[in-house]
Parts: sequence; C-alpha cells; structure tokens
Amino acid sequence: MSLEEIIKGCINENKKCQRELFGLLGGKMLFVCKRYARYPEEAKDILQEGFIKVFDNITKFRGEGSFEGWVRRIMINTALKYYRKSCFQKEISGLESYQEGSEEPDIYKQLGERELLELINQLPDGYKIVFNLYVIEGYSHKEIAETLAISAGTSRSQLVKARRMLQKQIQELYKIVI
Amino acid sequence: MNRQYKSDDIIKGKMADFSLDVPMDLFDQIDQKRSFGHKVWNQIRLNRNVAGFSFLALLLVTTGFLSYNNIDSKASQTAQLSQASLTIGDLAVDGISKVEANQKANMTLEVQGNAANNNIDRAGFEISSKAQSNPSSEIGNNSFKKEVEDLNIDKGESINGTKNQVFVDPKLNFTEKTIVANTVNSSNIKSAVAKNEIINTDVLKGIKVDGEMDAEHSELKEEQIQFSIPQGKKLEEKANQTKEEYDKELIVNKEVSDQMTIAGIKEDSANANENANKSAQIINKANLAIRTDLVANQSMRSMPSIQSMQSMQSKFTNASPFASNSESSIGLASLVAPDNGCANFGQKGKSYFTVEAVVGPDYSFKSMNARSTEPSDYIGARETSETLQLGFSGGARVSLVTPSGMILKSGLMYAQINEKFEYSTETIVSESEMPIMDTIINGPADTTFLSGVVTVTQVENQVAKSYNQYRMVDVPFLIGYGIEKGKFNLELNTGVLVNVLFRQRGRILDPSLNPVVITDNAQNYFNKTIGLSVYGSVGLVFRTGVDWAFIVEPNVRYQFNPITKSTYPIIQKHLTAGLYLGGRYYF
Repeated sequence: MSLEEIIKGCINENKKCQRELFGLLGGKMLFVCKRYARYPEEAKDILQEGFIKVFDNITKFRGEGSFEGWVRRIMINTALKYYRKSCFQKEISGLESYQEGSEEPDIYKQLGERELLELINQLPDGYKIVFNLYVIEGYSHKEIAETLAISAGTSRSQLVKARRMLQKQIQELYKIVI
Repeated sequence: MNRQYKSDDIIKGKMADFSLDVPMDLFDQIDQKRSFGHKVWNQIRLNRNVAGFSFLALLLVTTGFLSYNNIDSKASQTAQLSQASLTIGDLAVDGISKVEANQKANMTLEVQGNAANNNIDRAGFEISSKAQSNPSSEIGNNSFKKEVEDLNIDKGESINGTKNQVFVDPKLNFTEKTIVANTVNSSNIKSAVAKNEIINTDVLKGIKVDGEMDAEHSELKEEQIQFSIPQGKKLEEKANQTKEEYDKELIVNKEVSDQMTIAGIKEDSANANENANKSAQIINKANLAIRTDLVANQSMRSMPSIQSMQSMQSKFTNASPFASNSESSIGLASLVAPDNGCANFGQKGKSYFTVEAVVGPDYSFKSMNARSTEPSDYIGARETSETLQLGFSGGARVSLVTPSGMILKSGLMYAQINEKFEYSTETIVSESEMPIMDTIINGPADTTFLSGVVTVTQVENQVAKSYNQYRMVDVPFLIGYGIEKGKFNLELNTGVLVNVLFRQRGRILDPSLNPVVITDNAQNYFNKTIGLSVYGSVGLVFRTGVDWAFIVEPNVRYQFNPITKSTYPIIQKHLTAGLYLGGRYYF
C-alpha cells in the first residue's frame, strides 16, 4: 500500500490504514520523542498523544510537502508542550565561545545512534531541546525562539552550552576508550 | 543552513532518520483515546461543503418554519387591507387547525366588520367552539350559535337542515351575479327567525369549502346573515330598502371597513375574540347593512389573496441556498513528492467555510414616536422613566468564502437590550385639618393669641423600579467582501437580520402613566416578531494560526419595523451599535 493510499484510508477513518501508518512512522517518531522526553515512558506518552493529533488532523494535511515532516513537526510540538517555559528562562542569554575539537567528528562517527541519544539525553532540558531543534531538526535560532517563546539570544546561548557539555562528555568518553 | 561544525552533520545524519522498534501495543490505546467527536468532526471537515450547505439549508428551513406564522399573519392582514376576507378554501385545504381558523375568522370579522365575513367564516371553518355569552347582542358572535330548525327561505335546497347542523355543499361557489339575483324573501326569513329558538349551541360545523361558492347556494349565506341579526330587526328594515339605499349602504360599508382595517389590522390573534366583539359592536352602532352581495364581493376578493398567500409560501419554500464550486476532495498527487520542507496548509484559490462565534456589548438608541399627536406626554413619561443600559449580543455564524473574497454569512444571533425603569408616583393617602391654638407672650400686658387650622397631608411616594430586557433571536443573511493582508483580514458585511423571536421582560408605563408589567407581553403592547433589521459591520480578523482567527467586529443594526403593535400609541424602534469579539474556525 502506497503512502498516498494509506493517508486516504486514514482520512476515511480506516483502522487498517491507521495501523499501517503507525507501523510505518511509529519507530522513527518514537526515536524523535525519545530525544525530547525526559524519561522513556514520557516518550511513549508523547508518541501516543502525537499520533492522536495526527489522526485527528489528517484532513488538514493538503499534501503540499512531506507527510513525514508534518508528522515529525506534530511530535516535536507535542513534546515541547511537556516542558515548562521556566527551564529556558533561567538561562543567561550571554554568548559563550565554543571551539570544536579536531577529534570530535571522528568520535561522533564511531558512536552509535543509541549512544548518541544517551549523550544528548544527559543534557539539561533547555540545552537538549535547543540542541535537538537546531542540530537535528534544522531549525534556525529565530524559529526556535518563536517555538519556545524565548529570545534568539537565549537559544544561541543554550546551544553553545549544550555543545560544550557534549564536548566534555565526549572527551571523557574518549579518555575512557583510550 | 550553514553549518559551522562537522559534528552537526554527523549527528543529524545518524539521529534524524533512525528508527526504533514500533511499539504496536500503543496503537490500540491511540484508537481508544481518540474521541468519537473528533472522528465525526473529521468526516464533517472532509465533507465540509455538503455539511455547510446542509447546515445553511437547515437554517433556511428553520427560519422559514419559525417565520411562517408571522408571514401567514401578515398575509392575512394584507388580504384584509384589500377588503378581501381570508381564504376559506385555503385554510380548509391546508388543514390549518381549528384554533387558527377561529382566530382568523375573528380577525377577518374585526377588520371587515360585516356579516358577510361571518358567513364566509362559517362556511369555511369549524367555529363550533365560539360560544359566546350573549347570543343576540352582537352580529359577529351570535351568528355562530343558532340552532336551525325549520328554515323557510326562498332557495333552501342548498341547506340540509337538521336540528343541530347545517351542511354546506363542498362545491359551493361565491359569485356576485347570482347572489344579487337571489334575494331572500324577508317575510319568510322573519318567520324563520321567529320560529327558531336561538340557543347557545353550535350549528355550523364540519364544512369544507374549496374556495368558491356558486350562485345557487348563495341563499344559505343570506339565511345565516339573517340569523346573525339581533332579533331580526335590521333585517326588517333592510327588506324595505330601495335599490339606491342598498347601493349607498354598500359604499358606507366599505368605508367603515377601511377605517376598521387601519385601526385593527395588527391586533394580535390571541385577542381576536375580544376584538371581534368590539368590532361587532361598532358594526351595530354603524347600522351596517348585511347584504349577500357583500358576501360575494368579499369572496371574490379573497381569491387573489389566496393566490398571493400561496405565492408567498411557494416563494419561501423555493428559496434556494447559494451555490459553491468548491471541491470536497483533497488532492494527494503531491504526497509522493520529495520532501521540500514543511507542509502548507493554505486554502488559496478555493472556496471554503468558516464557523465563528461572536459576542460583545451593545448600546441601543431608542426612538419613540407617537402614532397620533395625542400621546406626547406619554412619550415624555416613558423617556423619563426608562434609561437604556449596556446590552449584549452574540451568536454563531457560518460563512462561505469564495476565492474572489466574497463572503456569504448566516447563522443564529441573540441580542438583548437592557434598560432601567424607574418611576415614582405621589399619592395623597390622607388629608386632615388640625386646629391650633397658641399664646405668645411678648411682654408685660402684651400677649398674642393665635388660633387657626392646619391642614396635614399624608403623601405616599411609590417608586416602581425594574430592569427591562428586550430579547431577540435573529437569523442573519449577510453578504460581505474580505481583503487579506498577511495575517490580517478586513471584512465589510451587510445584510438583513430576520427576527424569529422577540420577547420582553420588565415594566413600562401604560398610556395612563401607571407602571405595568410587560413580561411575556402581558399588556399585549409588543409584536411577537419584529421582522427585518438591516445590519452592517466591519470585521477585523487576525489569523492566530492555520485554523483559527480572532475577530473584532464593530457593527450597527437598525430595525425596520417597530417593536410595538399598531394598537399601541407609540412607535418604538431601536438602533443598536455593538462590538463583537470572537473566534473563527477555518475548515
């Protein structure tokens, strides 16, 4: 069954098609949710709530763009609702410097997806969200600022801190490996 | 996006498309947690055009249904204005209930003010329940309750007289020519009147007339007319009239009928009985002739009225909702296209529906004008005693927006005009005289003696106070045009509001300047519906998201028709300015 047929079926409330869609995108979206969730069970809650929104609002999808991108955006928005705004407000918006180490890309290459996920999840909530949105989802700081109702400066600051913290974690990991 | 760090690309490459095992156990929970309402709502969205048109059609039908009585009543009044009695056949054919028929019969009687209409009434409706206390004093009422025992008139073949009933041939036709030809033998009639006891039981019932009565049955009317004359006196007088007197009186009849039409045309049907009595008294006073040719005239005139009513009804029921070319299907051709970023939810180039709910404060400006020059003091008293206060209105509307920006809007609106009533009256409760005596000693050997009478007046000050409400339910039919500028839309709307319900609560001064309760039209001063109002508004719409928008809509509406009845001495209308605030949902 093609994606087009699946979507048509979902619009008509066809349970088989809905199951197909969930099977097709559920795994990917669960991984997205895990990147934002604070603990594993929360990821499942986000996934569940996100798919309810997908099925409820699938008639609004006009087919102009990627369906997976649309579902992913719903998941991210759902996940962000789980966070309180306060976790960003405590951050000072001053810019801090960050310099990527020469060995870092190689280390990242060697790491598996689950290990990377674990590293990212060790970041504080605010850092993690901005890092996910900027680095993985490809949002700009302006978009992040609008999405999280924070300033673009705060977003930049949080990203730098997230990078530095990740760098530190990787260096420690690298030392352990060596 | 320019990526400054290599590690970003590596992380994105690994993380963005990685998939975990699908937790299929979650799917059943998802399905269970989805509300039934959402599933139904989805189907409505999917078939939004059908749903929208169905809603509008339903709205039209509902409006039609609610307005039907109003239209029907107005149509009958129009018919009376043109001196045509309300349709016999129409009512019988349409199966309008007995009560309604009686009301209309009385209304006709009131307006037309002659026995000819009574005749028509009796032929067309079942009026057996219209028993009145005095069978001989009034034409309009006692004509309904004669017991016919032994009719003795010229052409009695159309009457099948039994002790308690008279049946009229269903194929009766009224024509002027024949009726003139069938002059009733007055002596026979007199003897019929003399022979028959007048008792308070119904006689004429169960008669269905298809709208016309022919010549050979006209004497039946004559007979009934004679029976309706108090004690047969006038009949005797008329029997001796010459042809000239006869024609002259016909003109007088018409004039009186006109006068009564103006005076009583908008009387509420609930009071029709009372009005009928009044009219009948007027008729007696005016010494109106009771003539079969009038019966014919009225009947003949009734035909255009029937047609006009039927035409009105057919126009109403044939009213069709506006059409749309918008499609309900969703184009999915581009679903398989490569990922170009985020989805676009725009609806440009297509007609679409919106649903909006609005509510906001209103301020009304009341205009009160006298129907005649007399009650100017009364207007002043009412204006002094009533203070308009902030009201409110709100409702829900469905809009069809075309690609060209045209907007068709309808829905259901509620409006409430508030005012404070305060009136104080001073009543002298008692007045008494008290003798007084006093002695003032001014000095030695200088004393003043005072004596007299003081009038003591006890005055009671009564203050009547209430908060009045005028409540309206309207169905708007609006047309508008929208200009889009980014997230902002500017809309200009105009159209009419069809009132389907008008109610009031509180107190006002009556023409005698006494506070009276008007709740549920207790004084019968107000119309039950107030017809059309003109509406105009400027809508400022701010899109807060893909589906939702916030609306600010300053509006003004003016009532074409007064809220007061034609029998009430003041013509009262309202001009209302308001500000709607609300939300809009885009399908």
